Amino acid sequence: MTELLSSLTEFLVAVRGAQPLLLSGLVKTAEAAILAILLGTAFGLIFGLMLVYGGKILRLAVKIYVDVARGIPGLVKIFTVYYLVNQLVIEATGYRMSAMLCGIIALAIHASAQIAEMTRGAIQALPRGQSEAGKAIGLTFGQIQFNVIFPQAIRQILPTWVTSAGEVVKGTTLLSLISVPEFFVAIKEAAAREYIFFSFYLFAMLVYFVIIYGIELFGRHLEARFNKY
Amino acid sequence: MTSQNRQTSGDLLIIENLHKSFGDLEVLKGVNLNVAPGDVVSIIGSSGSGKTTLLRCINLLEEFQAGRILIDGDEIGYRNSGGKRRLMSERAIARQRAMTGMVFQTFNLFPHLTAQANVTLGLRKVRRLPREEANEIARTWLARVGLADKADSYPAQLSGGQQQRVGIARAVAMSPKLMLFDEATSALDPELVGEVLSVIGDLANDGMTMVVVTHEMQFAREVSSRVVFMSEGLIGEEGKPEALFGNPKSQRLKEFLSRTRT
Amino acid sequence: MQSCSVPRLAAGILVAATAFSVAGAQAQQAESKLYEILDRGHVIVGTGSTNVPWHFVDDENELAGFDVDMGKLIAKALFDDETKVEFVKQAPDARIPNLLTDKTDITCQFMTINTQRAQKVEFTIPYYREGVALLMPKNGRFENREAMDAAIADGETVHIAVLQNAGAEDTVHDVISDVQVDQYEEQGLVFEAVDSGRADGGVVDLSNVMWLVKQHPDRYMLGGKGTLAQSYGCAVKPGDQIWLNFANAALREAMNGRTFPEYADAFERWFGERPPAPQTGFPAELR
Ligand SMILES: Nc1ncnc2c1ncn2[C@@H]1O[C@H](COP(=O)(O)OP(=O)(O)O)[C@@H](O)[C@H]1O
Ligand SMILES: [Mg+2]
Repeated sequence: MTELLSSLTEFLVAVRGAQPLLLSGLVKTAEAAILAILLGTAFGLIFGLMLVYGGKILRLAVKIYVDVARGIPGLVKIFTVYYLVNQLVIEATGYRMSAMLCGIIALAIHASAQIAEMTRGAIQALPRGQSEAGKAIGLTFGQIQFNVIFPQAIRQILPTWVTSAGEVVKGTTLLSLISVPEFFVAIKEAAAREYIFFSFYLFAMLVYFVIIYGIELFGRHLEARFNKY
Repeated sequence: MTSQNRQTSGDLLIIENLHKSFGDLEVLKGVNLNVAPGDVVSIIGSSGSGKTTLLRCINLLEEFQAGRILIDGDEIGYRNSGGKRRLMSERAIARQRAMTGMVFQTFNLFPHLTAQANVTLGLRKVRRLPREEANEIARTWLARVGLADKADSYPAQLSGGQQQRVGIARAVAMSPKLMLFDEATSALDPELVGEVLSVIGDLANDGMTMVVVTHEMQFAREVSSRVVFMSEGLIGEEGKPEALFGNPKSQRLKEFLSRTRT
Repeated sequence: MQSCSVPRLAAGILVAATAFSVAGAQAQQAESKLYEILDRGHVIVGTGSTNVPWHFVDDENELAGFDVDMGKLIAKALFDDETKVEFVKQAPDARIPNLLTDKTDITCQFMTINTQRAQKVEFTIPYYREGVALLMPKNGRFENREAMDAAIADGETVHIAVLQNAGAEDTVHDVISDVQVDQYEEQGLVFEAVDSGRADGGVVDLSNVMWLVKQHPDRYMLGGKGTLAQSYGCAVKPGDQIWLNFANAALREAMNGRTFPEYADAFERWFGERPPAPQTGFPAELR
């Protein structure tokens, strides 16, 4: 018991000492996750709309993108963007994307594919009468999307969207492989320095759980707001 | 009667030789119809005769292959450019749709919006009225259809009859030149039909120009200024209600009327 | 000596990426990364951040360790300023890909020189020779290695912890024989087994033992070294002899020449002892 207590104290002291390190890692993780979720959601919605309203060729192109993006493992996507796409961009424009940017793009690609598929499903599940009622009162296509279709589709998408957002957060741990100093790297660094391994990994688990659970609560909160009707 | 009114430019709605096909299936085979301002025209006819399709063409929810539709003197949906018939831009079509109000058989209310917000959406986004003014108009119309106390209810909290009355308020609030009703009461429980018909009757009495597709013969007889019988994609017969119902000329109409009476 | 399972999935991607960068490099012949670095004003060194005492984040949140000091040493050789270096923290898996795609100029990350890797990158001369050693707790079951050997001779069971891998038994036997080998899945667990007394000692990298003994002389002692050795070298992208020569010159002079004190200070800082000083007269490295 006292042994446990003393090792706990030791760990807390170590966490305190590693605070700046862990905090900067957490900020990086949050930054990557938030940007990837935002980008992934924006593009996912656009791709979803293309799947619903696009012409034959556009639909086929997006469908291929979605299937490929969903079929490739996350790590391969990250490596592909970091090593291959980055190289192509450098050859073409001379601009070198940072590892962080590459990671965000790779995570966003995955999320966008998931969200595109959800969006397509949600919109196509709406009765045709909804857009016709919008047309009948003179709304334009865009107005119908924003005022009639999206609000209803979003409600349908939310629960799966929360799952996707959680996946992005989990995916940020892969970014350590391309040198992004995210939270799990900070944990490994702190653990290595202090020679305290398990407690730090347990601590990391706890933090990730809290973040993902937080997203879930946020999703439920949104759902409750959309669930008025 | 049709040919008589053809050239009259005072008509609010003019349909000339309207042809509409779904693929190989020709549904409207050259429909001609004129509606004068203040007219209430009921369209009757057996299921599949093209009534809904006709209304949807007037509201540009369907494209059509030939013929012209004019509302208040303006041809809608298509324009001629270099001798070619071209569909108008999406925006232009949206503007033209706002001239007609449509009431659907299945209500098609927006489930995520309150009754009031269902009515104000078009006022705010299409007519671009300020929020207060739109709310004012919405409340007035909801009161007119007897739903003053349901302004903040969501569609799911309303009965079918109440929902359809919101649907009517949503359409008329836009001050359309022409109202279209597509079997507005067919999806309702029988005991709720009356409240909706009386709202439509009220509008008719106020002088609103209307085209009403209905199976309610009693209603057609009492409210319409003219009744049109559609049969196999064409207008079979038309006339004043008492003439059409009292003295049907064609065999088809006779059969149709005898079937609906029983 | 870390055993990381390199995910092979990046291999194809890498081949394609390299094709582009190689094509680019060929277009500008008779040039060298060396001049590019000098123009840029700083050198980009790839290293890790999670292995004490090689490369880790210290209490001041700075990258520190022997590999890091090698990077600074190269910066000093280039610019006469050890701060003219940008470290790219990378996972061991990323060492070679990052070199081949020019994300790093040179990698110093406890990289074992072997001939498979030498087919993909070019190694500098080695700057450390790693082996394994026995880490013993000061307050453990045995006073010292002699006491442990005596107990083994008496037929007592002695538990030795080691990181789980294919050659784990051989690794232990390089340092000590006739013991019970307990394999653990994580390096951290090996230390915890030693700390908690579950194991009487642990066989880990020599550098780790040296560092721990230096840091906590009251807690740990060296229980003997193994004989099997492997060399750590820095690595560069292949095909740039000018840059490789420069890196070699910098390291060689640090170990055998004018800059030896810097190398020796670093060595002592992380491994607790001073390496043998170069002798004047005949250059011993040619012997
Ligand atoms: N979207 C469509 N695609 C194919 N056929 C249709 C479509 N809509 C209606 N039809 C066909 O057109 C004909 C007329 O339908 P409709 O106008 O709904 O008749 P009514 O409203 O008089 O019952 C029917 O044969 C129907 O099957
Ligand atoms: Mg119909």
